[in-house]
Amino acid sequence: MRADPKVRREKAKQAVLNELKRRSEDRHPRNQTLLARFARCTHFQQTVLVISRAVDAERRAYSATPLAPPPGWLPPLA
Amino acid sequence: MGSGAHLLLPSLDCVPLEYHFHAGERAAIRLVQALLELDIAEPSDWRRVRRDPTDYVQATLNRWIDLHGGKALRRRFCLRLMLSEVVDEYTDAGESDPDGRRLYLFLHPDSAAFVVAGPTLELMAQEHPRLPATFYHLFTGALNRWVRTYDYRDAEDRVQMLREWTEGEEEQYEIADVAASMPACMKQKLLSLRSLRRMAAQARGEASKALIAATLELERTSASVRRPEFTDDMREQLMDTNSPLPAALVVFAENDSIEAQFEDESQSWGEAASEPNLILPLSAFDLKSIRSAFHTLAVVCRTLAAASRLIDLMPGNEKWVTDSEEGHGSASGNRS
Repeated sequence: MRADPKVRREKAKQAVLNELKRRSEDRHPRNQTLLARFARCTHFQQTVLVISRAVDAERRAYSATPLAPPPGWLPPLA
Repeated sequence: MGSGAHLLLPSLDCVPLEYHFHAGERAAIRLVQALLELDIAEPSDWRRVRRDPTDYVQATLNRWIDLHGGKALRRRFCLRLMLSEVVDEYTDAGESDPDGRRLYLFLHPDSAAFVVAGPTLELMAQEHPRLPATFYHLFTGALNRWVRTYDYRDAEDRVQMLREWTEGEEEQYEIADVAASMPACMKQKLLSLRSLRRMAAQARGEASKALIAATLELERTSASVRRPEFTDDMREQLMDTNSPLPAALVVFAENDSIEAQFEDESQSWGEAASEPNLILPLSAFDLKSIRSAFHTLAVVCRTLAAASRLIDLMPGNEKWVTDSEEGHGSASGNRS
């Protein structure tokens, strides 16, 4: 049996309102991924750049073998 | 870390394929929430616009216009409805408001609907000598309440201005005599609305009866809500703009002196920004202001739709329709 059109409309309306609430609070799931947070946060980007340059300088200075990045991480590029 | 011997490809599962950035998203989100709370927006449109708040506001406006006579009004009128945080995009007076606390819905014509009134006035004169002028003033008055309608009064003002400019050198210039193109029946005293309603039932011809009924419907719709006054902020932003562009041109006959004055005057209309025909202020945080703006917009749409239907009934206006019924194209029959 199908739900009453009014009830369905109200449910759809609430779903949109909830999504908009999350988005307006910047808690939308798509902004919670590592890549999305990285793309939106300049502090994050600067930090990664500093670490990447430090690791690169260390490697060149001592000819050390680089460590593998943790699983799921993007390899840093200087 | 570098590349080394252990290169690991990052997993892109659950990473969205595209990102959208909208400068006005905060205002759009707040407005969408308000439109949903007021049941003006349709929840099923949300997926259709791929969850984009700005597109959702646009879809809601389109739906609202369609709900209030969009199809009929597009048959004769070519207008653009815009939503913005400033009234005039070239002014510095409007401060940036990313939250949507101060928004404006405004209406600009792309071209003017063309109406030939002469044959209708002749038809009306057969019913009652005072009916043509009554019809004309009700028709243009109902339109002018919401959009600028260029007619013999504008043409006379222009001719008067030209006469003042050429004072003392009149013989060197040929200035049109607009008053001469006005039918004599237009000088008659107007009938009251009560008399007109009575006439709607008693008219001899079916065509006249339909025209009177459509005129009364247009007047009733147009007058059903008051036009909002300009705020100080709006006046400040519109300080350097020209008067609104006409959304309709009413002539007595094709190629008459009114049309000639309109054509002449229109040469300079693109030189500076024009005041919108209509401005409806609203705040995304004030449900009352949104309800009021959308209610007024509905009245404007219904007024233009009623005017379109009335023009359809007016003899001699069969060909001045837009091609909007095949989409939102240009208005081949309009004057711009």
